[in-house]
Amino acid sequence: MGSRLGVIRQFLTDIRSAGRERFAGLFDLSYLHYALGDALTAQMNIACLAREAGCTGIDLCLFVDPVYPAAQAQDFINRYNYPVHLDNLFPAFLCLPGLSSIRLVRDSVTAGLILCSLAASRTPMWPSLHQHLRRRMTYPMSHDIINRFYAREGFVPQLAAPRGYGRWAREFLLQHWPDRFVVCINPRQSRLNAIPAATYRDSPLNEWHAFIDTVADRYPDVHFLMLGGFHEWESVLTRRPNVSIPRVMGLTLAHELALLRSADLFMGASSGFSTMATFTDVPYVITNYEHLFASVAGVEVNAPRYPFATEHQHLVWLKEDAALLMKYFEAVYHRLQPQE
Amino acid sequence: MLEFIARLPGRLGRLYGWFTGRRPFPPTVNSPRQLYALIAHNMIRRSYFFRTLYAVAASIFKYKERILADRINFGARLHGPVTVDTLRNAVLWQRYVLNAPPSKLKAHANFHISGNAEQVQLDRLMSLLLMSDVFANVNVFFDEQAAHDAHVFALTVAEERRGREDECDLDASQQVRAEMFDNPGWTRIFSTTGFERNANNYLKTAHPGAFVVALGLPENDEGFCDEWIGPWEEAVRALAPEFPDVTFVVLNRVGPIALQSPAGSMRSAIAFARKAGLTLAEAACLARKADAFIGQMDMFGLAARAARRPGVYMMSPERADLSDPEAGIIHTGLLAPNEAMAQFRALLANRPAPAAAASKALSDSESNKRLRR
Repeated sequence: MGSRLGVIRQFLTDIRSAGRERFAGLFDLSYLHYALGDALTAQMNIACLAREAGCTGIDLCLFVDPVYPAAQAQDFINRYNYPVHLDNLFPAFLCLPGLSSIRLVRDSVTAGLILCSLAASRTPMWPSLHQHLRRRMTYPMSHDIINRFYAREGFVPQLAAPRGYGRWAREFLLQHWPDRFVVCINPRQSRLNAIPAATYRDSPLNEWHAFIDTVADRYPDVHFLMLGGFHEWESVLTRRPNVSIPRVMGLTLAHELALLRSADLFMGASSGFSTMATFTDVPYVITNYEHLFASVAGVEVNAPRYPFATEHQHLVWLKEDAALLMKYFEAVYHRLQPQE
Repeated sequence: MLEFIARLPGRLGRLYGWFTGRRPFPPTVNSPRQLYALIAHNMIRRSYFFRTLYAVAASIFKYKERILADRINFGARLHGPVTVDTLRNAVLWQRYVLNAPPSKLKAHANFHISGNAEQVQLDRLMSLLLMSDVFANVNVFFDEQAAHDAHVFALTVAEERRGREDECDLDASQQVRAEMFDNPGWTRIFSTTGFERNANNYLKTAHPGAFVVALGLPENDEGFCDEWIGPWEEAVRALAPEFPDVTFVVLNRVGPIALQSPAGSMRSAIAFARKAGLTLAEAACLARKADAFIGQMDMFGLAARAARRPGVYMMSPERADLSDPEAGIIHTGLLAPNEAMAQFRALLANRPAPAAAASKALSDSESNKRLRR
């Protein structure tokens, strides 16, 4: 009896031992989405809350129950193919500044102990325990926490290049395109996906191609990097000498995010990559921004930028065409050129 | 008392919500459907209350495991770039874990990153681990404090007592043993479910009917094989006229300069799987599905060898004892491309009958086309 009491006492001591100086981020894929934008916005929420709590490090837990590997909205992801989707998305979780550990938890029993330990030790966490147990999240994820942090502090934490890839990206750009103005692009093309969704948000590819060709004529020092899934571009893009596609080289999302972080400019539709640009200091032009997202992002419709954005970070609320893309490109390009 | 009365409507509302499965039903839904939804919603891990109970019960169960179990959490160290050797060592380490005394409990992996974390690129290692079902949980610790804080659920008491003495250094070379390949556990390491689709589609659309040889080239720390493409392309080109139905597919990453070179073009003697959008895991599936393999005994080489693909497997030091002449598997030391192709030529000349039949059909169709022209 005494030894059993001892075990219980030890159990309680152990589950209370997690430090409150560390922040816990939980990303449970049974109700959160396999989506780049959501993963990055969640990390921004975690980064803001961790700073607010004065935490020195962040432990990120990815809960994937192989029996229920995805939310109902993504029922095409099942126990057989979830590793493929997770393989694609995993590098996004390495962008969190102050990341101390990342834990892929596929054993639900371990997940239970982690939850109990976080609750018993009152470790600050996102989402809250209550919200996590309810398994509810509103989509698209709001910027409330981020905007609140900005209003109080006057700045927001920035997402970093995925851990291990920052220096690689800088060296890679220097090696292959030295003295070039590197523009990362991501025209959304859900219609080319195996499971198309919200195709009305897709970018007009012919307009993008016309824009790229015009830039090739007028600004030969500009090089484009096409980011996104392998399915998102048409083969004619590979014929353009001023365009490179990292996925064609066998590179992954980790490399793409790092390249975006080191690029001179990002241009693309409102999507996962634009979320990455949003939470960095990289100049960007995000096109076709949906009016529906205005309230979620905490901005007025037709606002030129987010509250925490810098001068060269633009929101465009119109569907893009070549002329519009050129206008914004030139505005940023000329401002960022070194003065002679 | 007043507080209790004030909270009563809320409590009743929550109680009602729990009984009705917290789901507003449209009027068209009949009672049996409602009952089913109630049971499913509340009992199959959908209810807040059930999840809370489950978490508490699970934590007790896991804690019991922590006290009683041993050798279910396996540690590994990483302190440099994740190179082709690191990946190969990670494969062999999983093999070692599978050979550990069988346990009814799931195995978990703990990776400790020491040194400069800016050098450690995890994408390829995680692809490898996601392809495998050897480990349930995978913890990556970037600092000691994080590892210490996680000891309650990342280590058992016995493992904690032993410390890090069993930890595997993934940067240290590991031995390949001949008996490893007699064991069927490889399918757990190179599980192809999910990843197989694209590899299969690639073979059918890019090389229909061809005898496909997977080519695993040496690569630099970032996984690019650019500097080795030229010599290998020359060697393949020399072999091509003799075997027109054979296609060589490079499995490694290809850099921007190599893609612009003649070797990287469409009309090259060799094809590039990664250029067609295949990921590392899918390229490993391709190594297992291709008709033959030629190249380094790296992660791709191990994948092909484990699937008993015929071919020339190169490694240093030479391990002739791993060869299996009956299956057309030749293990050699590191060879120049021409020398490797010379060994491979003999294998191609004695190809198994079904493939030979397929190639004959292909060459017949080619000659018919020529006749029609």
